[in-house]
Order: sequence, then structure tokens, then C-alpha cells
Amino acid sequence: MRVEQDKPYQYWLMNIRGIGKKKKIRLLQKLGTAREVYGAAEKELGALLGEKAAEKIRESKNDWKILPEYEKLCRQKIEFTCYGDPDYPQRLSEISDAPFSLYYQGHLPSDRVPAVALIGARACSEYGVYVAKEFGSKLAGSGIQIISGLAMGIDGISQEAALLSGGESFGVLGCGVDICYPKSNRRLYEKCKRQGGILSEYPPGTEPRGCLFPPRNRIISGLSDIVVVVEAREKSGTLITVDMALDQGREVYAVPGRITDSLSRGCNQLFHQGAGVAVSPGDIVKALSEIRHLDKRCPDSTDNIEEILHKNKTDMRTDAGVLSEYMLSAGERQVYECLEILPKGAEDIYRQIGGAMTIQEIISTLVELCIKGLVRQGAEGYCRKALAT
Amino acid sequence: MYSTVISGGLRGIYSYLVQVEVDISQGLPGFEMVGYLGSEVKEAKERVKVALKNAGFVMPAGKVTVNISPADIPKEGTAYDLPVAAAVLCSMGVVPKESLRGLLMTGELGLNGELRAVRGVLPVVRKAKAAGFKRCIVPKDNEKEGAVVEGIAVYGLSSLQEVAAFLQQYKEPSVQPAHVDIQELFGQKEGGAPDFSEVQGQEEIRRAAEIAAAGFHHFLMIGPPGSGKTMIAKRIPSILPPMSLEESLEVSTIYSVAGLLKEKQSLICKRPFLSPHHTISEHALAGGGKVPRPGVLSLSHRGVLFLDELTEFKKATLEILRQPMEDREVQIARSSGTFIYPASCLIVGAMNPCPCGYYPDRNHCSCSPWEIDRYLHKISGPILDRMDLVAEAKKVDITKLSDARCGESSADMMNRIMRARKMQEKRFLGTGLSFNADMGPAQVRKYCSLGEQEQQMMQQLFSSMNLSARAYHKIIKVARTIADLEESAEIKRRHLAEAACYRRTDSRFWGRHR
Repeated sequence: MRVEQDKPYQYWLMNIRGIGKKKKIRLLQKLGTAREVYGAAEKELGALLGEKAAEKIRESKNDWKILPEYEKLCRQKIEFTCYGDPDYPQRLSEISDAPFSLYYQGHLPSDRVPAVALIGARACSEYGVYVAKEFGSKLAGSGIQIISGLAMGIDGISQEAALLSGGESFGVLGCGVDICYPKSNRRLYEKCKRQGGILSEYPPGTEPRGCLFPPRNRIISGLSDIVVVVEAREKSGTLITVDMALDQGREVYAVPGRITDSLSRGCNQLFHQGAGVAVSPGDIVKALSEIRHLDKRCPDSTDNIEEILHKNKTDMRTDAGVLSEYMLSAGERQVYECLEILPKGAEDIYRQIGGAMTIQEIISTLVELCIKGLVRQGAEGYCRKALAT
Repeated sequence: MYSTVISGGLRGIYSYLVQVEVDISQGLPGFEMVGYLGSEVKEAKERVKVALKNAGFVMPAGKVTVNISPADIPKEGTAYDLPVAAAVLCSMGVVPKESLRGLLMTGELGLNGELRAVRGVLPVVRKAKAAGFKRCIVPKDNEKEGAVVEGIAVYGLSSLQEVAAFLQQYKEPSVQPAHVDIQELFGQKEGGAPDFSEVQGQEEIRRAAEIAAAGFHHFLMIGPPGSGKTMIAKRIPSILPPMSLEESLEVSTIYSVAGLLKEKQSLICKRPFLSPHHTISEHALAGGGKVPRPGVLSLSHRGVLFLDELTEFKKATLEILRQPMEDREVQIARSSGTFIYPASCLIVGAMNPCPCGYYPDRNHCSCSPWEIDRYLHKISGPILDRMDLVAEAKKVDITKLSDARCGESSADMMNRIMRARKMQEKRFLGTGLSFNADMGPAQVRKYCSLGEQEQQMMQQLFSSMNLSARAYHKIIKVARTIADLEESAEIKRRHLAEAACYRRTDSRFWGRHR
């Protein structure tokens, strides 16, 4: 009850301009609650923080209408938590520059459940799409929370896959939680609210700006136990997140790609620096179980790790036994065998088969295979679909 | 004295008969022309007067009245000079009235009495033939053009004196009618067109080009710069089936009306291939002007209109293609009426997939998803939907280029295309259609019946690809052409699958977020 009454004042405290996080924390430590801060005499504030800060607080008291502002927030169904609150995510509170305020829609990630950040390039390749989907759905499917930035490319794709598999995913934004950015991810944004949450340290209504995005990356890594990089270029935003994750003491894993691709450079650079190798979602689950064993924070969550590991044994490789159920003709089998997880065009296959089939035969066979559900067509060409076992 | 001469007027690509009446009577000397005339027609007055004088005929000092009938249709062009002069000569009694019977004439006069070329001779002579005329007088430079029409004697004369002499001895003229050997014209081998054997690799777009040429299906190529899109497009003329006489007459008529038939050229026997620069205006593309002239779309009728760098065209210009791509004609409405120009051309487009050109090769391309979207959406959905074949050109790898083996030659591809052509000719005998792409929904039902298996496949494709009804018909039409290339009477599953593949390509680029 007391907490509920304090909420409008917290909201006010979070929105005082010109006073940093440290000063706000000191206020709370000395005075107890936000309500008491509001009620404190200016002299007392001045003694605590100095004249300038006290002046700022007085100004904001004049400008800020406590109840109407809070009601507006409630109407928008936006909730928030403040540094030091019991519901403030524990993992996040451990990092050095944890945000003072955290607004959210949906709910906050649970401290008891392992969380993994899946991040990568916005302009990703077909291979990246495949890996993001695979990791997103397998990890979320085994009950792990997926944290990411709701951006285009790897971020959005892995979150989409996580939600599709019935798991939970959390998107950290570089703008107010009431603003969907990028707009094209609207469907994902809405789904995330229902099946996880949308988080931001910025007050509602904050428009997206370039300078707001690097700081939000520290929240992505801060909320997770492990950061997994799927595809990244050299000198990319993803690597900024990785640097922050390392500062925060998070483990960083990267998924290998072809050494010739520029989108693999970032990951390969990480390997040089000692990042973990994630060849399958199982690798991440194993790493999580190790962390959790060491960590006494929530002992009960380790119980089902073995079970999770077992679930992840079925990895990306396709099974010959399953394939036989599809009743492929000789030509279809020949074309299918040429395909891999990396996409190929009809011409690559034509060259590979070396004249045994004409280009038109290959094209029509590929479409047949797509209809049968064995092959997927992406922007770069055709690739094998993971078979359901 | 009153006299009358028949000539031909032009409206769009059609010609109508015009009666030029002249009356010379007593009164104040003067020369009056009436009949809803454009300024260039009115100016004929001065040209005719001076040409007559310089040809040695003295105009009587009387009131000359000229009426060009029907007097309620606007007239333009310089083709009435000769008929007016001839009618004046007849009124003067220089040439006998009987000589003008069953005769049509057209031509521009120079001040020295010389007869100069005019546009639209072909449709005018065809109209004369249809109206039962026996003889035509046309300028010497246009005689080959007129002589294509059989069953009418076309005399090419070069001056007003010659015309007067011809009319005076009309019973046994000393000039022979012009003659053109159509067989020989069509037999001429046009050399110099680049050959498909020079293209190495790119099997997929080669194949798509073959299907496009065989069935006249609109064709879009997407690929990185330097992957051979333009190279392939330039070679499409070498695999186009030859034009029939009927088609050739259609094309030549358009060129004749546009005044683009070269001097002494009679027929266009080769399918046109036009490649306008992307700065082209809407009017140049569709046709325009106060009295609309055919645009590039119509000039490539029965041929290829190649739009290179499709995304660089103005959006408004591209949108103009919508109606002609479906209806295969351009309708231009003016206050004086609606002009219809045929535009049954094969539209071939080429474009890059993103601003830098290398998407989806992420090693080269670092365009943001927004940039790619914005770039691709320069091509609107309706235009994309009208493209029957969308094929992707891949970057050519260097080992293939140095490969000594040549690609398949145009002649080999032509063999297959000619077989498909024969199948289509047989199918559309007496229907007025010539290519599979011309089929409407009724014809698709009639000529492209599907077996049970094939119908089932269409349903699968329809639901998985989210097709429009138009796309549904287009897949079947393209499948029909693919089957024709194999000389298969029925459309099989594999034909449908291949046809569907050329429609899937677009969703890979444009449907990334769907």
C-alpha cells in the first residue's frame, strides 16, 4: 500500500531534469521514499545536494503535476520501476551504470529464469536469418528469456522466432516505450508486450534519436546472463554492446560464419578476443547451466537444466530417416543434396550438377521442393529447411 | 469551273478519305481555303500558288475557293498541297476531269514545284485500296512505302510538272507503277545483331529471356551492376520470331504515321527494339501532342521496349505503363477525340536491387533495410504485378568468364522458339491473337486447361504465394509458353512450377517484411 502511494512521487523523481542518477539515489538513501523527498524542505535538500540541485527540485515541483501525470501514465498502461525497488531486475542492478528508471509495458524479465541476449547486424544475410531463427526459437522454446533491441535484422528476427515458439522475449528500446521503432516491427512490438515486455530507461514520449541507442545497449547486456552475437561487421553497434557486456562481466558467445563474409568479421574478431563459440543453441544452454551452478542466486532454476539440454540435442542437422518420408524423386533428391543451409541460386546448382539437368528442370524441381516444405526460398536463394524430427 | 480530287487524311493510325474541292470563278482575284484547317494546311495556299507559277502554269485572275471536305474534322499536315494544286489545274482545264477518277493523291509541294515526302503514306494507300481506288500518286520518296499495298498502282512522281504530264496522258501513262518485292524484303538477313553465344553463364535469365521472347511475356531482370542484364536485353532481338506480313504492316503504319520510315524504305521487317533513356517524359513514352503522335510504347509495337535502370525512371512515367501493359494499346483522349495507338510490345526491364546494387550479397552491400525498401518501392506493386517473368541475375564469377566454352547460340534458342511460335500460330488461328501473352481470361480457360494434379498444384501455389487473380492467370500463360517450347500439348506440373518460380523472385525482394 505504501509503495503504491509512493509511485506518483517516484515518477516525479525520475523526471527531474538536471539531477543525475547518483544524486537521486543519495536522496532516496537519506530520505527514504520519493514522497519524503517531495515533502523535504529546500534547506534540507540544499544541505544534501547543494544549492543548484535544490533549485532544480523546486522548479520541477512547480512544473510537475504529480497526480495527473501519473494517471496519464496509468492510462497508457505503462509501468515503471526505480533503481533500488524490489522488482528492479537484479541482473541489471549489478552493472555499474544501471539506469535509475526503467519503464516497461508487459512485464519485466524474471530474475529466476536465465536470460540470453541475441544481437547482431541489422543488414544481415540469409545465413544470419537462419541462425537467428534457430537460436531464438530453440532457446526460447526451452524456457530461456530472449533479450534484444527489437531492431531490424538479427534482433527482430530472433525475437520473432522466440515468440513464435511460445517463449518470452523482451525488447529494450532507445525511445519511449510507447513509441514503436522501427515502425515496420509493429507486429513484433505488440506481440512482445503480450508475451514478454518492452523496456526503456527513457520516459514515455521520447522520440528515437541516434545518441540514445548506444546507452540502451548496456541494458540489453545488463539484463542477460550471456550475450550471443549472430552476425556483425567490424566497427558495428553490435560490438559496442559486446564491449559493454564485457565491462559488466557477462559472457560473450559468437556464432561462426564464413571467413570470407564481411558479416563474419565482427564475430571472428570476438573469437580472437576469446569469445565463446556457439555452434548450436545447446552450447548456450550448457554455458548457462555452468553459470547457474556457480551462481547461488536462484538454486531452483538449475533443476531443469538437464532437461533443457536434452531438448536441445536435436540440432540443425537433417535426418536421413525423416527425409525418406517425403518420397522424393531421383531428380528432387539430386537437387536437394546440392542444397545446404547457406543459400544457393538455381545456377549454382546447375553448375554443381554439371549438365545432368537443364536449368528449367532445376528451377521446377526447386519449386516442388518448396511446396513439399523441404526447401525455403530467401532473398539470396534456396536453402534447406530444418526438418522436424 | 469546279473540280475535285480525292486525298487521304490521318487520324491516329487510321486514314480517311478527303475530298479536295476547287472552284475558280469570276470575281475579285483571291485564293481562299476552308474546311477546319490547321495553320500548315492554310499555308498550302502560298506554296501552291508559287509552285504552279514555277512549274509554268499561269493562274487565271479569278476567285479561287478551296474546300477540304469533310469540313468538320480538323486537318493537319502538308499532304494536301498536291491535291489542291491538281484540282486547280483541273479547274483551269490543264488536265482532263476524267484523269482524276479512281485516283488518290498526296504530297507536299516545294516552291519550285518539287514533290516532297509526307508522313502516313502507307495507311493512306491502304485506305485507298480498301475504298476501291485503282491508282495513287505519291511523292517519289514515298513510293516504296506505298507500293507495299498490293492491288493498287502506286506512282511515285517527283514534281508538279510530272504530275500534270501524268494526268494529261492518263490513259497510257509513260511512268511505270512502283514495285516492291515483299518476299525479298522479308528474305533479307539482317546481320550485325549481337548473338547469345557471347553470354557466358547466367542460365537463369537466359532461360527467362527465351520464354519472354517465345510468348511475348513482360520480363524484369534484377541484379548487380555488370552482371549482364543489358547484355542479355540487347540480344533479345536475335531470338524474336520473325514478323508476319500483317504484323509488319501494323508496325510500318505506326512508323509511317510518326514520319519515321526512312526515305525509300518500304516496310519494317524486323521487330523494333527501343531503349529510351530513363529521362524520357510521359508524353514521349505514351504518345502526345495536340494531335497525338505515337510514343515510344507504340513505336515498339510487336517488338521490344527495353527500359534499362527501371528505378531511375520518373514514377509518373512508369505508372503510365499500367494500362498499355494489360490492354496492349495506348488510348490518348483529346478534346477532338480519343486516339488509339497499338502498343503490343514486350517490355523488358532491368534494375539493381538496391542503391549500391549488390543486395543480397551482404559482403558488398551495406545498404540499410530502409534504403533497399525505398529503392525497390520506386517500382509500384501494380507494375510489378504486370511483369510475367522476374528473374535474378547473379554476379558472374571470374572463372566462368575465362571459360573458353561459349553459351548457347541464338540460332539454337531460335529453333525452340520457332516451335513454340508454330504451336501458338496454330492455336490462335482466326482469333486475332498472336502470342500467349495476349490471352484474356476467357482464352486462358479455353486453351490452358489443367489436369487434376496441376490444379491441385495451382491451389498450393496460390495459397503459399499469396497471388492476385491476375498473377494466377499470368502463371498459367507463362506455363503455356513453357509447354509450347517443349511442344507439349498439355501444361504439366513442371511447367507450372517453373512459371511460378519466375513470379516468386519478386516476393523475395519486395516481400521481405511480409
